[in-house]
Amino acid sequence: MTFKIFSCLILLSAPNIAEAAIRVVASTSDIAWLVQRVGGAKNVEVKALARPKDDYHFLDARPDYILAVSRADVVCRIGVDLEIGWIPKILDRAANSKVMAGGAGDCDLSRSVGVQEKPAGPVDRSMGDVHSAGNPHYWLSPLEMAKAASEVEARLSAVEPGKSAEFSANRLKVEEELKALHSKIKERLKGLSGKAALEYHKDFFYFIQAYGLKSAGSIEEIPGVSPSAARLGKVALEAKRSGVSLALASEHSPKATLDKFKELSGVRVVVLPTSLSDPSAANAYEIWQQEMADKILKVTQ
Amino acid sequence: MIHAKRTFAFLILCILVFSAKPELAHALAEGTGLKFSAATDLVGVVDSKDETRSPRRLDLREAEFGVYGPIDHGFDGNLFFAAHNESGAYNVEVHEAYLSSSKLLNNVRLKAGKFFLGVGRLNQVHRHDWPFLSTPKAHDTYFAEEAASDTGLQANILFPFIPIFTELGVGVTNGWTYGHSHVQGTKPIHPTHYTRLANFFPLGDSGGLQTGLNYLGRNSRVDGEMKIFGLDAVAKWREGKIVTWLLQAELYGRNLRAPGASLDRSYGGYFYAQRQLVGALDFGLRFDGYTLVTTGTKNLDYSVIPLFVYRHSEFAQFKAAYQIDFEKRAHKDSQVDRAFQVQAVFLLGDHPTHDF
Repeated sequence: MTFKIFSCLILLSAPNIAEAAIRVVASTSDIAWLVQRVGGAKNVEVKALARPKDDYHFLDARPDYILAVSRADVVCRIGVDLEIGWIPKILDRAANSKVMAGGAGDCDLSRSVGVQEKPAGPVDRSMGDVHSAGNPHYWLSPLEMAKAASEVEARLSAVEPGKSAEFSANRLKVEEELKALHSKIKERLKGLSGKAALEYHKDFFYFIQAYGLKSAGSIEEIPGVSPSAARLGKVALEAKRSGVSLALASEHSPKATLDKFKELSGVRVVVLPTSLSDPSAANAYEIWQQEMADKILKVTQ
Repeated sequence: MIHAKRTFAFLILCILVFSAKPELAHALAEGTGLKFSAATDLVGVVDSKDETRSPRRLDLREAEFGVYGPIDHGFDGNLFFAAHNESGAYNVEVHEAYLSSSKLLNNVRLKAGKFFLGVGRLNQVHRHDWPFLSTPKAHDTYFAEEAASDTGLQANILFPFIPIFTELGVGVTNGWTYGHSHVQGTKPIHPTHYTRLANFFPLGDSGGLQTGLNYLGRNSRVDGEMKIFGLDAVAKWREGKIVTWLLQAELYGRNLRAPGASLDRSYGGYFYAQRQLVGALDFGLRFDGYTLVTTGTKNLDYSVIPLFVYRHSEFAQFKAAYQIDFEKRAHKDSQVDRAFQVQAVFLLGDHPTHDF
């Protein structure tokens, strides 16, 4: 009887022994894509938690996310407090020491990124959803994503040191590709270089900066809070006066507010996806960035 | 009690100072990871026939202050004080005080101390975070007006090799008292013991259903032998920052055999549905029911509660509800009681977690 039980346990554990891939959970599809590229398809098995159309500030600590994290070797996140409402809770409930703070699989991409827009003075909630550690939307810039690849390489190498040379080579390759992509899209958008663009929320700060546009501020007065009619009127007037002709908004921005702003200001509003849709495709990041450029060019040309 | 009030006043003063001067909280958190939170729950009943149930005025139902953070590399500490309005008097008490760890054993969370028992849905959630504002009768009868709490040990074990989320919670607590009590109690024959098996099923690409199977038992020379069995379920669909649909239900049965008395068997529960109306405004509807089946005569208490919920932000929300309670007894006219209730909840300090 003891032998049978022992045999069953060995059989049950056999698939785990055969599994060589590092199990990575990424908070978003963009990170999942980067992990896939740095790790290599045969070395990593990646799962993205949030859907591309989600607002990453406001997700729940869903039990299926907890289950995925409980099985993971590495958990990668945007950081900069973007996922503060759900990732810490998931990590606590998954009780997986490998991916907790200080564990080999604790992967926070913001550690290797040049996070910007850190507020100069004290921050409090009367200012809305201000991130005291800086603007977290860095994945919209290929240059920042290239920097983020270093953290992915470091975490994968810590978990699987024998493959660190391969991870390093992959990281260099993806960095080069991202830089080349940046040049390509900057060239496409060169007609807009130096031109002012408004944002609904500060989602596009890094994107605007990467491609040489000039930020004209945000339509929101308080981050995360829908602008009042008075605010919309004021921003519309200022946009007209200063000749702003383009505003960028994410897919989860309120449509009625955007329509009203368009009506008041005459500014062309482009609604853009703020994450790539299929992380398993090797060129997913390029497809997404090109899609954003296409949409912008369509309304500005 | 005076000491507790002074302690609570000191802690509230601390959070007000930290709110006004966040750099002080930062300095304290630096190197310790200490976090603070406070929640205030104001409730008013504008019209009610039942004088004992409400003072017919806007009142502070509860103010809670929490401080928590890592104790060392293995344990976290959690301390929550609360001042409750109980029949017009504010009782300041330790709501929860426990150490916890999710680092000692993989996929196992441990708790030791005084805490809300890990059974059901509402019993594990502080009342200011409930989706509605009044306590369902079944919850009040089987657990407490807010939550059954006690001092003991609890373990939650997650099974990562099962394809769907499966978590087993088991706990044992002193059992000298049960529910929400301010007395010493007496040593039980069998302490309070409970278990909950939780599962989760994704629904489409934006929703999910969490279920829990619950059992709680206790045997006391004073209160008798009690066994509670039940099911809790929560389904939620979210688009962006908005929960578009929320469905929540709990159904329990209880066997209670008081010393020298015959068996009392009862069933009770509630069903709540909430739908986003527009922007941050939701409409909810709750049905409660409770019946004692061993009396030999027909009896049923039930309630219908429509309510509106407005979320100004993650940290402030307002509710307005109209509660209609029916009490049906054999050979008697139904009793009907109506109440209009309003609530304002605000949170200070640490960012609240987004539990499913």
